[in-house]
Amino acid sequence: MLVRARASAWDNPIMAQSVSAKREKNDADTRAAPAEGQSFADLFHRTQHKQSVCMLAILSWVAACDGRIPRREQELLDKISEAVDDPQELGVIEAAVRQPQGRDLEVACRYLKRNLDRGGRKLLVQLAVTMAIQDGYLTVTENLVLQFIADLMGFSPRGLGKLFEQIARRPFPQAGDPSSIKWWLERTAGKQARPANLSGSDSQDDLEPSAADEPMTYSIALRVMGLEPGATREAIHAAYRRLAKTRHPDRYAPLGSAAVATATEAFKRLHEAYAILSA
Amino acid sequence: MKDFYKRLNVDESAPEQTLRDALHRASARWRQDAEYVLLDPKRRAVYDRNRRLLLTIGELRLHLGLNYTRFWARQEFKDFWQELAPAGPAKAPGRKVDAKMIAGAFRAVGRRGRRHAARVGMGWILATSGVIVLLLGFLWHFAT
Repeated sequence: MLVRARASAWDNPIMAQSVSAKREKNDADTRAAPAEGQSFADLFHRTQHKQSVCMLAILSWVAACDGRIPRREQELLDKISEAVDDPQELGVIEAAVRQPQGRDLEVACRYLKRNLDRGGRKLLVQLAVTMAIQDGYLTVTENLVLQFIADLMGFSPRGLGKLFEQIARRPFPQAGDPSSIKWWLERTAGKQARPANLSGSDSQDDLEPSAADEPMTYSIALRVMGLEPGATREAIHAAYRRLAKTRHPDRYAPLGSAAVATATEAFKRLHEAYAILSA
Repeated sequence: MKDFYKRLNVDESAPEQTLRDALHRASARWRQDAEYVLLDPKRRAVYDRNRRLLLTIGELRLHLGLNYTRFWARQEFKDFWQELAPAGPAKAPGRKVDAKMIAGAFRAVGRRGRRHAARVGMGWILATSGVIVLLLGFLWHFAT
């Protein structure tokens, strides 16, 4: 295997394998493979597509911050990395999807903060929110990462709340406190009180497999579109129109190919949900 | 969120017995929380993941100048605030740097040492008053 994943809790070996396969496919590449142990921060300065790889690093962080990469999110990251379709850039793409942290993330954050204009910053936060709520849930870790990205891009807590409401059609929840008994008890009580098909949109479930891996069902479709059970056809159509406007891939073109690929996948999921609800 | 490992002064990979020993010495205010979370492997795994993320975010915020924003400067993240290490030799344990101490350090600069320091406060007042009087004088001169 050409890609050596780092031995950390944030490793993404499946993703590394898929990028590795891509590397093997492009083996005719004249460029030498990056030396083992070279981080994103080391390779970043050589790349031509700085914005796209920074975006990829940040989105990989959002996808894997809850300690797991569900199949759907993994496929999404795969497509994003394919979007930066330049064999010369495989080294840095590998590094970006290896769940960069610390210094690597700092490089990506610094670049995006410095180079994105106001509109681009808003789009990045919208994209991060879309990525985080792919499965209809928002875990504590995703909540904290979203707060950080919004802060980095110059948003206030209120601004993030408004933006989240536009995209998810529900208020931005307060991050829970996994170091308190109260949070654990509330979480257990909440889970037991609600039937499985109505499990709350912000159950912040960190232990169970992600809903992103489940096939699209009626309840998941409702969650994806931010609707309550029993929503009328008009309400479903209005929600779809509103969400399609905010999540349309064309809006993310200024952020580069990685962002467009993310938005395309999110849009497909929205369309899938709409198809089920309107059937 | 509380950083139990920091408060207990143990490593994240510490075995359960080490944790139990440290928990006996912990403050009663949060000991119950720590026991509930750390002594259950599933809860501990979730807690550890969140803690690691907050440590990463704390480090990023420090380096990106986002330490004092409305998102982060909240009591709930107090355990994860990171400060740049002060330059120079480490201070004696238990000695804290506060505003009064910094002011004292500036006052103490001078050949006459500490005795001089006591008078610098009055010196500042006199100097500031002098500048104000001069400014008023200029204003008066140009106005008439």
